[in-house]
Amino acid sequence: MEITVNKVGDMGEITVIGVSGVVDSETVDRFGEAINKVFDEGCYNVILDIEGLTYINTAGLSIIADSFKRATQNKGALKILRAGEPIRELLDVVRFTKIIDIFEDEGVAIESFK
Amino acid sequence: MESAKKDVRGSSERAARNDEFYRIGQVLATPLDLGMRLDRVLEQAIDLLQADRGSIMLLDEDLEELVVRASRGLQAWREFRVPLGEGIAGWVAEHGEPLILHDAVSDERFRGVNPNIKSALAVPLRVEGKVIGVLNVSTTLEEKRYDYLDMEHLISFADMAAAAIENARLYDALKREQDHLKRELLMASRVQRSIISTHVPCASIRMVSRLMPASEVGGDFFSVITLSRDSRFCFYCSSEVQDRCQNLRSEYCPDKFGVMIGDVANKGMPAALIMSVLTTLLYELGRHHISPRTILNQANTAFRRFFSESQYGFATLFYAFYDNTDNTFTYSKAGHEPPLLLRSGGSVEFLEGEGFPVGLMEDGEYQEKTVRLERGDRVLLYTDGLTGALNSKGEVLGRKRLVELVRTHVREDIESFLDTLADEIMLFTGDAPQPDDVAVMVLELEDLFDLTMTVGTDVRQIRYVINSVLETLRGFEGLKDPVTLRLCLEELLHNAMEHGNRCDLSKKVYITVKAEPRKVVIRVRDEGEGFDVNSVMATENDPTILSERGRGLTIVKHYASELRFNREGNEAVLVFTAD
Repeated sequence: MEITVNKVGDMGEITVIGVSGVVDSETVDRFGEAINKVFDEGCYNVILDIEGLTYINTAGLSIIADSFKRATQNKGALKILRAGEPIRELLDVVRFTKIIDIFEDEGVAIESFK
Repeated sequence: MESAKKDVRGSSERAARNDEFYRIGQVLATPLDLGMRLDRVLEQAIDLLQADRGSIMLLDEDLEELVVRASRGLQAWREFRVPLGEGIAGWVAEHGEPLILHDAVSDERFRGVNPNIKSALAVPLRVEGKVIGVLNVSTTLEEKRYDYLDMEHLISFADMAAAAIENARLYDALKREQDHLKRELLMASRVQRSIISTHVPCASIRMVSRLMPASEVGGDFFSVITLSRDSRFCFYCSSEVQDRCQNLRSEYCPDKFGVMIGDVANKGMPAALIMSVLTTLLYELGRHHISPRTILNQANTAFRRFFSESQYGFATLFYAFYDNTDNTFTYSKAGHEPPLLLRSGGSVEFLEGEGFPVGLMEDGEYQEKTVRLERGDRVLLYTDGLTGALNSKGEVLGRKRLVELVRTHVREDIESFLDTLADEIMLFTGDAPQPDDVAVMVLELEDLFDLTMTVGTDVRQIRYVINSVLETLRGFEGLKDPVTLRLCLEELLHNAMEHGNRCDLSKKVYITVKAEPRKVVIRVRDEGEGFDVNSVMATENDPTILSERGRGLTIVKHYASELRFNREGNEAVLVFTAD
């Protein structure tokens, strides 16, 4: 699992967290820590870029759910960028697609925070 | 004038009598509990005599003592004991006669009596002329003086009350006896169950069984007996997966074991006693003889020697050797219901054979037959309580219905096969009481697995297990993508370790994978106590999307073609089919 963190937006008020590879029992804690670090630094506008994500387990899904809650509670938002087909289906199964916005284009995703 | 007076007295007597009947009715209306009855008798007696205190003492015949069993206004008298012949009550009990007392304090016989008591009555409680105790009432009121009329009332009340007390006393004793018997039966039932061994010493055979005695203990039994411990590995083990025998179920690998099922011709305790002797005999014979036929012959002789004098005659038996070097099943039958051989191809045959029940004839005329089991074949052994199960119309289940049921469900996994069979039988019998014990046992020569793994309860093992399974199933068309399998398997492994084994590091998780051309069956079993399968499977999606509850199972149910659990809830079966 690889994680990248980039500040974007006019004033760097949005953080794009890119996660690729496998989120499983061995990497899931690091995944959670990376997101929490962004929140702890005071940024609650988060885009989760999962283009390179090939697998995520239920614990990973719980982290996405908790992060979405935490962002929303702090007047921010968590959005998902570029979900591949298998992951997209999984997000559908657990009904995340009903409440979390998913974008194909990064520009559109950044725009949606305005 | 005289007669008028008599009338008055007569009618007041009638009224008093009615009063006594009313009061005894009050006593009889209490439950058959000795303590409650005594309290009620005393309460009514005090009320009848307008007394302010009283007691009931019952005679302990062994100790020749009177013991206070109920009292009012005499708190200190609790647990009080008086030797027969001593004190007021002791005198009354010894002589079987009532007493009226005024100025009790001054009477030499009654030392220690409360000085406030102004007047007292003590009458014997008699059942069929025998004194069982004494009823005492007294008053501290200065103006109250009990007379003979009062005494007569109390005596007639006491005579009726004594019968009510005696009933409760007998009931009490009976109940205690019964509880004792019940406890003994429960122990006997435990002992009996511990005789039955169902540990199959060979990993290639799976076995499930059920024992349903009509009462706490019964005469039906079955057992698996290890016959020899050969150091050679069996046919199954020699095929690359030797660790399975060693790790999965047993520490040693015998090449032969015995299977027996039997039914002692009797029920309850006598049958259980005979059953335990017979089982011991068969265990011993199994260790020293090389064929089921010889074992039955020897058992027949021994049974006749042990039980020839008793009326408890005979037992039916089925005894078989399973040899796992060549998968042969050699059996002999002693008047027992023929087991069913369920071939993996779908055919059903009875394992017939001649021979009289053990203990019936000097020569049992036992035969011996051998069948070869193929992978996936099953043998259903049962006692006649199964085919003899009665429905409410008085019809028996019979062999024909049994075969139909077996055919319908034989495709199910061996555990759910037995569960469903038991359910179907219960459906058939309904509320009709079952006269006979039922024992059922199913053996299966398991298909070879493509992968068997045993791992400790350690989440770090999960990735290793998943990778091994994926490696085994590489190129299998039943899986759309590895993500699917990975998600399901990870969820089940997590469940097994966290919820099943409760993170107990000493417990293990067993995984088997069986891949057919268009179907994969993965089993994950833990060593936990299981869970209520129905309640978990019924869990609908939690209405709140963000809640964690049930998410894992939702995922598994979505991706797998089938997800089921064994009845105990400690094994999950995951099926993927290519569609």
